[in-house]
Amino acid sequence: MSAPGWRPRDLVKGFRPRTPREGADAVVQNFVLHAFPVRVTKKALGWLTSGWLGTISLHLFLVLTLTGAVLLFIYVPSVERAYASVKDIEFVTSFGGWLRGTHRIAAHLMVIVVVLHLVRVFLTGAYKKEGPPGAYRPLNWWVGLVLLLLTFFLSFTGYLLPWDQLAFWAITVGTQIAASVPLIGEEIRQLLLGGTTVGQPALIRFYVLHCFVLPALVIYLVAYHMWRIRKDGGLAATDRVVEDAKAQARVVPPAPGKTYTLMGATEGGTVQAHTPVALIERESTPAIPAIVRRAFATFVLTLAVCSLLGVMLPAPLEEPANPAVTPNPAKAPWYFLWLQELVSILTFQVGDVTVDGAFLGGVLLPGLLVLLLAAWPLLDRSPAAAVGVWFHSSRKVQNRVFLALLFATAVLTVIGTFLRGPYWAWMWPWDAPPAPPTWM
Amino acid sequence: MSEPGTTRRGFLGRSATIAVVVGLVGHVIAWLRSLVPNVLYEPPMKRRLGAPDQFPTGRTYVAEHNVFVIHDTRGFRALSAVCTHLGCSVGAKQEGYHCPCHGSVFDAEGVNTEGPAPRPLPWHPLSWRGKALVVDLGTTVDADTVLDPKPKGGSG
Repeated sequence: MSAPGWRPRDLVKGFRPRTPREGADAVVQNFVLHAFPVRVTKKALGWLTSGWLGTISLHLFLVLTLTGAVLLFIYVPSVERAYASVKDIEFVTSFGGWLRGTHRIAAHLMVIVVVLHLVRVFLTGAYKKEGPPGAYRPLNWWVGLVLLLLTFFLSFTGYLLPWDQLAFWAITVGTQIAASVPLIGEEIRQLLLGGTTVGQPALIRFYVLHCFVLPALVIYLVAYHMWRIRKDGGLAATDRVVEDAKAQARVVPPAPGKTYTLMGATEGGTVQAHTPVALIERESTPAIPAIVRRAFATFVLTLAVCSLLGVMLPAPLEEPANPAVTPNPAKAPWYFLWLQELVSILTFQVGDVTVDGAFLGGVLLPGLLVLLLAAWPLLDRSPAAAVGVWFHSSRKVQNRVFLALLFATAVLTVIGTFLRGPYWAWMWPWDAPPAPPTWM
Repeated sequence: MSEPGTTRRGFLGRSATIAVVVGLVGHVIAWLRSLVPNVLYEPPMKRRLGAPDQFPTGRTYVAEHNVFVIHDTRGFRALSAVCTHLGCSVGAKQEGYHCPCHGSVFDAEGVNTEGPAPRPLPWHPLSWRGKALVVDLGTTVDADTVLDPKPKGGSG
């Protein structure tokens, strides 16, 4: 069975309606045809244009949803049974350890790929407000920032669920950083934990956030994120293709094909109405099957990488959570170690006053970074010619500052991950761990 | 004709808008408020530590309640083992305490001397319940508050 005018093989073979009626029917009745534009520029399809990092992020989210759904059937979110059920998944359930390993690796990769996606969008100026009429790309940049924060928060909430020592102390430290917000910090911490200590109320809250609230938000926002790409006239690189075509005037731009607006309710029409397809006919190709094939290929590749790494790097499971014994050193998840490093560095004494690093490094500095990223589309003064171009010369300074901040974050993360030993003291990887003190 | 905004239609429209906004805001407030617990099923803050002979002269760590009991010539005192930085449990070292998470160091009296901890470790009041020591983790006292080494009215 298939919708009128549409056969499954059209998705991969390309869709060639026999009559205009058939084509119109298919577009209206088929989700995939409706989700993608009619034509897409070859430039936007290029692997080096975007790295397909946004698509890969979504694929990773899909892998996480699928493996997570399976784990959901076995995991029990109670402090008495959580650890045992994860141990069951790891050692008793068929393929359980592999599924859990794949889920964990996909989560780590998603943090990395989503950050790289942001880096790509920044370095190509793809968030800029200058664009075709009807486009406003800063909006999608802001949605993307929220999705980045959701990705961190999803990963962080998943961290607690195994209820082992790693989980318990990472959450203890993480929520204590939230408590250093002035005035309402302790209230925020207790709202997150549902109590004053990391216990059953905290576990169920993190579980519901991790398995329902945050994924639901991600699904809604991703749908909007992708719809906005079309409303903004495609990837930013498309702007340059259209402008070049206009400049070379190989085709005289015809009057906009669509002069009406959506149900007569909006002003100005859409980007598509102002970008006659004929103008970029030679530089573009039918979106189906071009996008479908590439999206499928990247999904298969993503799944393969996650599955292989899931076998090669099994997820750790430490001893059951024990509030009385803090592991030494106790580390937050790796993507928060730059924050933990900042928290540790930024606490110092000036005379009798102790500067609170938990607030400076854990709340104020990351908060300012997010605010700066959010405000950047409004502050950026580079010209429209820089939109969709890697390392445009007019963006030299801001790109360097951005990369410097990124590099500093990476260095702090590496220090926190590999160069901090017991008591958070500096330790080279080749140093022998210090002998346990005799008085203990 | 009446003024625009004073018509019956305008009045009903505004009333409906206000009713909808109040209704939606009310729901959101109820959702958020329901997430703030009214009762905490957590262990009570007063913890029974046991008979004083379990705490010989010097320093004893009670892992279960995350507290150090210090017994000297003056009597008993209880020092919190919860780091004032981010809440990890500090470990004892020869003189003082050391936090494994971010390397804070405290001296023998719990005063922060190195690392990120912003405040000294707090002291908790001890009391006798029968012949057993009881610590109140919910309140703090200054470092000079010492519990007499003999139970009040007890034979010792």
